[in-house]
Amino acid sequence: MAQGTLTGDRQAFFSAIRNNIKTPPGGKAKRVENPMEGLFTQRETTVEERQVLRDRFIQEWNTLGGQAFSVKDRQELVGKLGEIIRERKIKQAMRWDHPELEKLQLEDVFLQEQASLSKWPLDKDYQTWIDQAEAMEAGIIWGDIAMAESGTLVLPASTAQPTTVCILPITLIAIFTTAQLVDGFYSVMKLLKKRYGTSLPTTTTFITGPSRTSDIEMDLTIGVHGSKYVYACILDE
Amino acid sequence: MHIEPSFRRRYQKALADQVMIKAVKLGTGRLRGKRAQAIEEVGQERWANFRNRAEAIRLHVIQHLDQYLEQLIDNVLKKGGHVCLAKTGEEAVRYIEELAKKKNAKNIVKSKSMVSEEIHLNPALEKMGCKVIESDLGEWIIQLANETPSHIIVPAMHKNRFQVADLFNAVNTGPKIPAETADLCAFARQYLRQQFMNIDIGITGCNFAIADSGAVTICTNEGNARIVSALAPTMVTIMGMERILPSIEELAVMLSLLARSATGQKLTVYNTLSTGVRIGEELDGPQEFHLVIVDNGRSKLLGSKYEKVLNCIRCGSCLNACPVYRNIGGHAYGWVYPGPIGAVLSPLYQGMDKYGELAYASTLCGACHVACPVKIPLHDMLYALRNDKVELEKKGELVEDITFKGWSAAFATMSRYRFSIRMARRFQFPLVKAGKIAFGPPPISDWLKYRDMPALPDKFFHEVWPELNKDRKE
Repeated sequence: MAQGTLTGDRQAFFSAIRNNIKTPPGGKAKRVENPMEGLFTQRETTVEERQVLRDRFIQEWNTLGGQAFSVKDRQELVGKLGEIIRERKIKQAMRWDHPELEKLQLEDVFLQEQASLSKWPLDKDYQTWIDQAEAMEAGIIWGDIAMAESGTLVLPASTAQPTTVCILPITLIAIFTTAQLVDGFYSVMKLLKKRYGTSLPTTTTFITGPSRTSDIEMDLTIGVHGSKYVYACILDE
Repeated sequence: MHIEPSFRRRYQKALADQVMIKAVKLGTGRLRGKRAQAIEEVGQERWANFRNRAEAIRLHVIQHLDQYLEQLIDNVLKKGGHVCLAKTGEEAVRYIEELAKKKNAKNIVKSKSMVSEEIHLNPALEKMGCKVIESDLGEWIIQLANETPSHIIVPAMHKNRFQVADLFNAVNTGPKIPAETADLCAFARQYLRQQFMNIDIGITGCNFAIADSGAVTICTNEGNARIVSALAPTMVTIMGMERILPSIEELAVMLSLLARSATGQKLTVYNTLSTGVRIGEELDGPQEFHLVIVDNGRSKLLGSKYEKVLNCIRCGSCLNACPVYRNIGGHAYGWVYPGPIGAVLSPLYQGMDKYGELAYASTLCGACHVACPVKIPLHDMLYALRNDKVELEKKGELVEDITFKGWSAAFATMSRYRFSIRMARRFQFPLVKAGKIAFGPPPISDWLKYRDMPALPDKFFHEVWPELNKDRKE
């Protein structure tokens, strides 16, 4: 990758900073060694504990205005997806190219409901895929990490799993297993650090419920830009 | 939007606007309630720990700002992003103007950025023929109204839905939109989506930059910044140079505090951590990323008694807590940042001559300090700004000096204090009417224009106390 360029006088910019920074009488403040320590729950969870986390996630997600539910197996998931497709009258949807979604053979479910499901990438040409993506009524993604305490999906993006799928359509359907569930931030940040170090993916999106605004008379309204209808389908491990 | 140069005129205008005052009281009341509920859920002790930790993080970062900025710049450049170091607002605007020219940009879509308001970016881009659209709903409303934000988090807090409907109907080519929030939001979605689809350059603000990974974090509830950064072929992120954290571990603390302090949510709906340029075969995300780091007066605060104001994370909770803001709204403050944080930042960034009066837009009750998630002593700073203003202007120095020196001498010892109040009591009679002093000679005449002072009583508490105490003992 080509190195970017720097505009502006770096030396002048930094001398204004360095000339002014002072060391207080007691010395400069030290870096907080473990910033998250003691503020967030931190533990390794068992399968049983993750079932408790699943219930917590469902509670949080539903409170936020989404719909979350647990499903025992693919068959139950297929039934639920059919309900969503009918409820939202979805005719065309797109999904991430993800091995776990591949295994679930979701295209068959859409076919049964006389709807279509396209796998990312929709097209290589910018203007073509952007127009196609805009026409999609739902986006289906794999919930890579899910934070139970706040009802948050943590979605590191990649070539096959772009953020467009989870932000453009009015309906978002996230599928994941209880194995993806963690308590909260402590585990998420440790996991991201372990996985990527400081080389984070191009984007990592934290989604906590549907798009919302209270900009008009503090009246909460759902779906002003991002997804209005958000579903979380949690498969048991 | 015409802005009155005098603070007195601005707040008088605000006090006469009952629609605005009602809206601001409703908005700030709700936000305060939600924040209180969020803290209750977290627990007071844990919340105090969060604040202490956040304060420690910010203090460290600001005292090592050069180190973290160097690290951030190197990492952004390494990942193919471009960096502009703007000493002034003008330099930042010039850089973005040149970029827009180079890209032949027609449609620029922005997500919320207070720094872009600070540097007057929109008018400059519009002047060169670009169509600039604010995509945050509140920002778009005030853009249509040709106004500035009146609240950091809820920019159009001062508007009611009928006013919003009028603004939307002015740009709407379809059937009339009713003044119902759901209909207004549905129209905004449809209208702004068309703008997203034709985006040439996307401009975002930056809640926190992450030094060790060269990433920027953008938080929105609506998802507009997420769309901007997914669809814009060229993305520009503008950050105040102090908005930086060492790593994502510190980010976890800050995001948890920011959402709860701002709106009472556990987390903002969309938190995007972006390293800029798309890589490999990725199709969405920007092909070009520009990070504009703005000083614009910030560096001169480093090492000063106002340094801690750089710890601010722009949550707006000091506004909601402030009894003055709640009664005059944001526009009375005259510049981009309203409320207690604005009353400190405006004179420091824009000059005491222009905004020094804002130091008096406070009761010094300290509610802002209590509400601040990073514990900025805003009330102390407002007090210090008052001192600076007096020192700077030296206005009425002789009268004030004599008055305060006399006061100080009289109150220095018990005997002098007793003697002076006995004298004051004896000679106050020409000014007393019905137990009150409502007029008097200069310099107290100015003070008495707006309020009465109770006359000194026949007996002071310390004169009555020995007798009362005797009764109590018996």
